[in-house]
Amino acid sequence: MAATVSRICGAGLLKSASTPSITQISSYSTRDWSRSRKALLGSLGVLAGGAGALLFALDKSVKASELELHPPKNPWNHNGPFSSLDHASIRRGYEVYKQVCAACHSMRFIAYRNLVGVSHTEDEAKAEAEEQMITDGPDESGNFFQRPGKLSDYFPNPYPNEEAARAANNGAFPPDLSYIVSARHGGEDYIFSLLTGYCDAPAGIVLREGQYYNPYFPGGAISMAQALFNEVIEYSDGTPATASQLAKDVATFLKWTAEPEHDDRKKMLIKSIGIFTILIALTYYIKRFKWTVIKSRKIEFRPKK
Amino acid sequence: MNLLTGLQFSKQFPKKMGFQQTVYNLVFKRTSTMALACVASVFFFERTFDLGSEYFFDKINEGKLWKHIKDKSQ
Ligand code: HEC
Repeated sequence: MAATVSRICGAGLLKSASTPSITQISSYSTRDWSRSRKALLGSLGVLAGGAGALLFALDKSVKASELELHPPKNPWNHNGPFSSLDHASIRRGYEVYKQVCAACHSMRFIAYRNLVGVSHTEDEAKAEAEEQMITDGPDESGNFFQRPGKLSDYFPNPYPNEEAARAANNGAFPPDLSYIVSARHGGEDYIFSLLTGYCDAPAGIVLREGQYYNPYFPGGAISMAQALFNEVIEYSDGTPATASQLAKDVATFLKWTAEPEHDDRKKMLIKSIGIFTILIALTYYIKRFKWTVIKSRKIEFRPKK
Repeated sequence: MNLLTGLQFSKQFPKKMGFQQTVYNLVFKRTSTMALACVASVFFFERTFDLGSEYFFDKINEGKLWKHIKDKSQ
């Protein structure tokens, strides 16, 4: 390579010509500066640093307008590094979504077939799909028609479009819930706190028509009314449907919709720990094996006589 | 393990056939048999490894996975 380059460009290219000369280097030295010049530059430096620190501190200061309640961390039983989601809870959470949240929120990225083997058997998922009327088409005459849902259908949207959703909710758009857990700081803790955290607005907070107070929602004024109350639905497995149970289950369900690969990911962690343990042990052994020669040799110095 | 010593043995005592020597002659000596041995052992290793880690995962998450609750829901 080097030979080719020097043949093309001549040997000059490979010689380093840019070594700074002694005179250049000495111009960076402050040894022969006067005392006053040093003092001036020193105080300028301190001033600039101080101003920077002040600006940083001002930027970090607490602002009352940004006061916001962060959700507490809850002991979810999928929190551990190897812990799977609680699938009984996902199943109950689906019931909550279907009977409460689906009235306003879409879930465009989840299909009925995704429930199979996670929270429902194939027959149950088919029955769930058939309960919904899906718009399909166009048929031979160019018309759209309604048909019962199939496993391959995605969850239906409660509103035909965003404008209709806004019109029905005082101008606020209920976001799609498929990936909401990944899309909000605090994840499932935020969802849980948001759903259970409604309270009366403190004095001085003005709520507009159709707004409610929730300290966990940034700004406090949310356009979604409290949706979960004790016994607002009945669970098919007989679990007492308290408001916090409903919120916990729907948050687990939303965690699954946002991260359907959650369980596989944790299983993969177990496997990679196993494989890498074996590989590290092997590498260590091979290193010791190959180095035995180098480690056990002796170098002797015999001066010429 | 002792591929190197095996090799030296074969030169020094060609009559003596220990277990390591037999394995060396049958498997490691030729690239073709070595490659075949790799493929075959990977098959068994991967199966046992997967079963083992799956068992571990299922034990940790006893009662939470779909396979543990699907009979209860019917
Ligand atoms: C009456 C209709 C309605 C129902 C029922 C409803 N929501 Fe909402 N939801 C809304 C609206 C409207 C917004 C937008 C609020 C805003 O932006 O002020 C919203 C916003 C949200 C947000 C986003 C908050 C944020 O940080 O931006 C989440 C999460 C949410 N809803 C979850 C749920 C869950 C879970 C349920 C079921 C238990 C549910 N909602 C039931 C209307 C509803």
